[in-house]
Amino acid sequence: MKVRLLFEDHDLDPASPLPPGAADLTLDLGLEAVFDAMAQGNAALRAVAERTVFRSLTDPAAIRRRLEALQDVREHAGVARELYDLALAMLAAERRYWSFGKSADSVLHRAVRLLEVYLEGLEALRRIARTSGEGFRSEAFRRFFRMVGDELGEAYLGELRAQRDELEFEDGVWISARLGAGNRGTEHVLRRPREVRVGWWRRRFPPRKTPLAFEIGERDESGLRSLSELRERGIASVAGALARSTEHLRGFFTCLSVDLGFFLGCLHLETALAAHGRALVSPEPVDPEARAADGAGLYDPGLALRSNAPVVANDLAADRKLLVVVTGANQGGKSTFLRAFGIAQLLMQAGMGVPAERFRASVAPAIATHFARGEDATMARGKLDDELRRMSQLVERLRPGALLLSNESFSSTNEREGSQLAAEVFRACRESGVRVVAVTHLYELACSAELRDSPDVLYLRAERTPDGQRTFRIREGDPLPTSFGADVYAAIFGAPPRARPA
Amino acid sequence: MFRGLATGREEYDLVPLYEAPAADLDAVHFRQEVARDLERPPVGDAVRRFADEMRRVRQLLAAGQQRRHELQRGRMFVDAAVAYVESVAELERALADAPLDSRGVRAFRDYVRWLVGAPAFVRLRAEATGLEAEFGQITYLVHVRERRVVVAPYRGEVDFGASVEASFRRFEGSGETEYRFPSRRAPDLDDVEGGILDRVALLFPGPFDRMRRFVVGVSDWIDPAVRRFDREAQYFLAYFALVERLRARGLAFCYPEVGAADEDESAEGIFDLALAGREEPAPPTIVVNDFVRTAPERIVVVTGPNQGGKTTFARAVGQLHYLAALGLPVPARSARLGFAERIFTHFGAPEALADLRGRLEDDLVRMHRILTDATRTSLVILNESFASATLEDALQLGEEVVRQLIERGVRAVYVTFLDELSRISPETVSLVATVAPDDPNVRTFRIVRQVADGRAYAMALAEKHGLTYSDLRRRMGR
Repeated sequence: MKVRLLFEDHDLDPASPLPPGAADLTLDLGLEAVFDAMAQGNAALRAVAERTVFRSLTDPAAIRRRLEALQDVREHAGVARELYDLALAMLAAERRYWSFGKSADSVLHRAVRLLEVYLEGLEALRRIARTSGEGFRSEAFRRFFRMVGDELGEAYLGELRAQRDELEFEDGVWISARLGAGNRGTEHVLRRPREVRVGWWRRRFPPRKTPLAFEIGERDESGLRSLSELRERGIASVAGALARSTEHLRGFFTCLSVDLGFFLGCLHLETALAAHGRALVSPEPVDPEARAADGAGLYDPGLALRSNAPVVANDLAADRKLLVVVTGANQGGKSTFLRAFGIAQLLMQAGMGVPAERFRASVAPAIATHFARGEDATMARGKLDDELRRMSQLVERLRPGALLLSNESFSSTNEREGSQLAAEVFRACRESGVRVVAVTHLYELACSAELRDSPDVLYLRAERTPDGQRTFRIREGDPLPTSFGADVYAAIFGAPPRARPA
Repeated sequence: MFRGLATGREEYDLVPLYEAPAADLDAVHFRQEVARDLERPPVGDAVRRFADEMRRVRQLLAAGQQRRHELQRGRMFVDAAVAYVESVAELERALADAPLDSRGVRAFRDYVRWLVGAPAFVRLRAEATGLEAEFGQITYLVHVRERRVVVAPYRGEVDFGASVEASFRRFEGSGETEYRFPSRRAPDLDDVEGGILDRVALLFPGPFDRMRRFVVGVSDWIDPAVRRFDREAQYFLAYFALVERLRARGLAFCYPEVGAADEDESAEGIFDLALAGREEPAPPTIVVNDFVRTAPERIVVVTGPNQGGKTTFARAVGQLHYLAALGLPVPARSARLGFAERIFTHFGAPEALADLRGRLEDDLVRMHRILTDATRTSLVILNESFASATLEDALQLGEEVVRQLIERGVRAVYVTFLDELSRISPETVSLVATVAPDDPNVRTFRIVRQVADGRAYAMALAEKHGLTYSDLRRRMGR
């Protein structure tokens, strides 16, 4: 009985830690805005969105499976919501039945009450599957509804109900035990009385007078306490078992809420972008070996959600490239371009629509970002030290086919040193088959002869009109020896900076 | 330190054992052999397991006597007997297979071999383990309904929890909560437990009858020699526990080569064990030192700044000789030592304004006793003796003491702030506690053999700050 709408082979644990690099990706790509839109203020939805996005799928078929399921949810949003609400209602039951203590008796009592609620939930699920399951076409949802039909038959649900009744123990409890150290009873196990009562057990209750029986007096408080302790020891085995069983059921409903929560989050994002006049497109994932990276109209959804102004979209034609070097004017849209590409790649590998008009790309076994940052918050490390540490951490995750998005890496030191460091890293990446998209103003790095002559290197440049205006478009173009800082200066100061003395 | 070793092992009363060093060289070697045998994992582990079991035996016997219910009392007696016979038999097996080189442990091995074959032990073992096995097979059923309890034979009734688990198996996820319902149970059976046990005894009368006969039939069955072995092994094991802890921190121990008192001595990497063993507030950083004394040197004079590690060094030397006399591994990388039959210590009263005369008197009384009793086979540790005297007096007294020690051929370590004491005769040798030259507050805790001139710290500090010539070349060469 597995939900498995998100992943074919495992469940998503919404409480699991985010994978390494998630914090950097969020910060560098500006994913907060995307998660905000998906969650719509709901912390649970946000947790699911983050975990799903950062647990990238690396198999194009798995991505297509999820994209198809998402299409089903789009077309049957009402049913999806009904299932989601059912799951939430089940999970709410837990809060309704407080646990009165840690004793076996109270754990068992609570488990029986929860079981009653969950049994109703299972019946409701069966009804929804029967009435609404037909319209779903994706493999993921069809499997889910088929499973519900197969596993939750009337006979099985009846058996569960009968077991619940038996757990009221109207005829008392039967406990087996062994003699442990000091002849003390141990290994207490609650037993089901034999179905056919023979011999000694034939009578419902043992005879009044037998040397094998004794009774605790009505007023004997310590005796009564001892008796309830014995009962506790017996019940313990079944209390644990039933509590675990209700946990399994809760786990099932949790998975249901998680998986549907992700798809509903996707719908939220689409609605939010639509309000800003933007749309998402279904991406085309391909094998890593193809080294494909080809798109049109890529935009940064975070930027789109923040402003109503038209957001510049860019194209990318970087098939078979291992290194894409983006140079050009400051404030020319380089970082936005890098983010748009990174988000598209990440959302594609989450099986979501991507912010573009068209996007076809190789899946990457790992996606990492290395963006220049301000001062290290702790001040304990120097800036370069911090940069190198982050790079060293993310290199742990890079494998052939992985994607590294670098934004002004090693800009915290002088250009010569920065170029050398970056050249070393990028060279190692290329030779290992790791794809790099690097925004840089390190002219020496960008113009090294080794890179210039390489067919697997693509040069892009932020466009600038002859009069210094930025179009925020990124086009193919060789690096220029200056970064137009003077332009920005002039825009802010109202006059260009003076020429440097010779 | 020995009290620390004995902590948690109070039942063995170990401190008196540590206060009884070997009287002669042969006794030292006898203990060293035993220590080496016990330090080998198969032997040491076997003895440790044995000790744990014997402890359990004692606990069961002591606790069992206090129980109210006769059937509980009897069974705990049986449990104790089983633990005893099994642990002795297991020890016999382990020692039989173990490589043993020591006279002590081999003799005990032969004894235990005899013991487990002796008729009394064989009978005890058969009866106790037989009873245990019979009890182990008993399973019974209890029915509780309201206030009534009925005991019945168990006939394979189905495990309710298992059948519940089976019903819900199809929902099983990855996470599994382990539910524990700890029930605190008093040492004595409560009335319900007792009432049930009485009725279980009715259902299975055989083993209970045999148990009653067993309890009256045997009395004190712990062999006195086994009991003594159990205690004396702890003398070594307790110390090994400390050694292991410190070895894990990178400190070295070794078995010293112990020779006659007047032989040359040399030990590398020694340290103060009492200081190193301290865990609170944090394990200290330990600086190790070397100790070398070659003829004609008799008196090692340690000078240098306060808090420079002089006292620690003197203590380390004293411990080295004492622990060697105990036949235990010593805190050193390597050590060749002269046997110290007796070790005297004289730690001067700290400087104080009040009652100077009284303190000096006290110092001198103790010093006199030492000079009277100490012989060529003794070791004397003097630490800031006469610190309460004026400089003039202290010099005079100190020189006199040194001369007397030399005349008697006594070995001594003399910690003092008086440089002059180190230059008295060829029998004195000077060690100096070093500090960093540019900052007298930085102590290196290294005690080095050099003339006591109060200077010459430059090298140490240059190294510490990476400012030696070669360091500077390398660092500036980038």
